[in-house]
This record gives sequence, structure tokens and C-alpha cells, in this order.
Amino acid sequence: MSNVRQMKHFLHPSTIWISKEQQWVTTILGSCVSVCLFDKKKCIGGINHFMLPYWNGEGLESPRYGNVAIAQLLQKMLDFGVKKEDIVCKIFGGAELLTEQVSVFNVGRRNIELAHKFISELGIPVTSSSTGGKLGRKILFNTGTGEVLQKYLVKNNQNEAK
Amino acid sequence: MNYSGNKSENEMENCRKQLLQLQSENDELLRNLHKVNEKLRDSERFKGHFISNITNEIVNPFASVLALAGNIQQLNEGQMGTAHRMAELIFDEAFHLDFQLKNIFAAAGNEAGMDEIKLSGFSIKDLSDHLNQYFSKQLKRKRIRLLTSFINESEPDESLMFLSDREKLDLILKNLISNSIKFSHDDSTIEIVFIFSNGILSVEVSDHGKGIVPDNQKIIFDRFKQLDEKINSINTGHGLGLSIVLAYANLLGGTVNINDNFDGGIRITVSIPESAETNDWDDLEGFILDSETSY
Repeated sequence: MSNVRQMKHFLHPSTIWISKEQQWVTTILGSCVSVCLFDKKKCIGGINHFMLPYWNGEGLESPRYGNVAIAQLLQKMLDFGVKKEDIVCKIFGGAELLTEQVSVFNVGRRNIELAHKFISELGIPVTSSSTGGKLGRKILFNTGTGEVLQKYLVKNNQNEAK
Repeated sequence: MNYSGNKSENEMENCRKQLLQLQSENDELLRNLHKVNEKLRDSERFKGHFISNITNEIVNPFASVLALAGNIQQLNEGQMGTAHRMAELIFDEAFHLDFQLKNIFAAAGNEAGMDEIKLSGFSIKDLSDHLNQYFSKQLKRKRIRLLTSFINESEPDESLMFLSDREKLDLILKNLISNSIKFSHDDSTIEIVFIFSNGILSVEVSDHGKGIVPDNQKIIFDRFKQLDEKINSINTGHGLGLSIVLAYANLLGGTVNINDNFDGGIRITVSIPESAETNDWDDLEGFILDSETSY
């Protein structure tokens, strides 16, 4: 943990990050979900941060949407020479925050369902997850080891969670 | 007996509520499915326009630039006036191409999830001056006046400094102003108001053009969407501008609202919260490792 400051990246919502180097990536999750993929053999990790489950043709076809974000994350991992059978997955986020006014029903739950369904269809094992609940999360993902550190956000910080 | 009767009624009531909720969710999903179907139809139609659009927007301007540059090479000494006019045409074509390519790269970067936010503190007045300068030729050509005003509700006497991604805010505003110029009549005005209040910068861009009917106000944020899709439409561009405006505003934690202007035209308001420098990497207190210590 001492080298947290040395290699770091803040992952914004609707973006993806992959690194061959050992690097800490942090992001803040409310109803959004992050899927962390990690290749155990090559020790390459990637993470996304999506806000809504499915792209429905509105706006850009970006990783703001789970179905796009997971497919792109996997493709980028494969582009790095990773084999799909070497990948394992961790899933975080999907809280139902009372402060969030969203037009989509139960967006947190639907984000979680999408993540599990998509990953399951890809045949990638989910080794760990922390999802749902009423509190936002801040996570730190180590792209070189696959470790994920998490803490819950106290209520007065909830407005920073997406 | 009464107790069990009440219990049964309560159960029935709960079931009824659950049923209503499921029905409501189902209705919402059906509405979304209907929307997706419509967009799929649009997408198929767009494929038909794609080649002609690329030809109009990319190939033709390049061909013009090459031809004009070739013509300038053939000019004799003393034809400076002609060279000047041709250089102006080259500038117009290159300006248009540059703007379209910036939008294409911005959309591609956003769709690939590769956007990074580069924070810097900058003067809103400087940004506004840059925008005015950038569009000076287009404004002059249509004799449109760009009226800019600044309201700093937090510190009225201070000039507006803002911490955000200047490049992204710049492209957001360029797309809004470009659209306003495109749809404004000659000899009209475009108003831009920068309002800083409670840590949020709102930029209102209003024009007095033909406006957008309410039914179309949402779909204009879809990529490649142009309300006038005729091949020989005078509306140039790929229909990416407003989708980038929305995507970048969301990326910066902001929102986009569209309203009718009071006397025709539209007013689009982009609100962006000032970014905070996050430097809490030392603060690891309270973090716990997830249940698997490693893969």
C-alpha cells in the first residue's frame, strides 16, 4: 500500500482503464457499477464504471452503459493479449441511494443484474462482489494484483457518488 | 378469526402493490423497447445516408482545398487579390473540416471510454474571447452579433475563474454556438450568458432561429441525428455535435437543458459543477480488502 501515490488513476464515470503495470485505480460508486477484470497469468487488470444498464440508442454508444462498458473492457483486455479463460471478475456498486432521482426504475439493482448476467454469459467467474445496499462506495483496484479495497461512504459524502 | 382475516387482507394488499409495481416496470420496459425499435429503424435509414454524408463532409472539402491550392500555385505575380480570395476559401473549407474532425475524434474517444478529465483553472472571460475570435468569420458573414454577459453570483466583484476541463467545455460551447449560427437568420443576435452560482457554472446559449418542436427536443442529442436529413439539406455536419455536448457535460458531472426561446429559436443551458481537486490518496483509513485477498 505504500506505493499508492506512485502509480494512480482516478476513474471517471463512463470511462474504462486498463494497465499492464501495477497501478491503483480509484473510483466512487453510487448506483453505478464497476466491473474489474483481471488476468491471473499475465497480471493485467482493467476496470470500468457504468451508470445505466443498457444503451438504448440515445446519445453516444459509450461505456456510460453496462452492455457497452463490459463488452469494451473485455475487448480491450483481449487486445492486450489476454485469454478469456484466464480472466476472473469482481463486481462493485449498484447501491440504491435515496438522494438520487433517476427516471429508470431501480437503476442500482438493474446495473448489478446486467453485470452478473453479462459476465455469466461470457463464462467468466465472479470471485468477489460487493453490491447493493443503501451506501455509496469508494474502491481502489490494483491492476497488477487484482486486489480491490473498498470503503462505504458516509451519508454526507453521498452526493459525490455517481 | 379477525386476526387471520386481517392478515389475509394485508397479504392481498401487499400482493396487489407488488403487482402494480411490476406492471409499472413492465410498462416502462415496453416503452423503452418501443423507443429502441424506433432508433433501430433510424439507424438503418442512416446507413443509406452515410456515404453521401461522408462525401459531403469530408471528401468534397478536401478536394476543394487541393484544387484551390493547385490554382494558387498557377497564379502569376500581381494576382495577390485572387490569391487572397482563394486562401479565404481554403480557410473556410479547412475550418469546417477541422471542426468536423474534432467532433468525430471526441465522439470516438467518448465511445471508447478513453476520455480523461484534465483539470485546470481558467478565466471564463478568456474562454469567451477565444470563442468570439474562433467564430468571427462565420458571425461576420451572416452579420450575427454575439452578445456575451457574465454574472458571478458568488463573488460579484471578482472576475470569473473556473476549475474544470477547459478543452471539453470549449468543445461543448463551440458546438452550441456553431449550431446557433447555422440556424440563425442573417442580421440576428446570439446571446451567451455565463452564470456562476453556488459552485456551478451555467452557460445559456440562446438564438432566434427556427427553433425545435418539443417532440424533437430529446432526439437531437442522439448521434448522427439531424432533423433535416435530406441529402441536399443546407445543414452541414454529421449530427454529432449535440451528442458530444451531452456526453461531455455528463462527464464533467453536469446537465444540459433545452428550452424554447421567448421569441422563437432555442435556449440551451449547460450547467457544470466546478471540479474539486481530489488528492485523498493518503487517506486509506477505513478501506477494507474485498473478501478475496487476491485472485
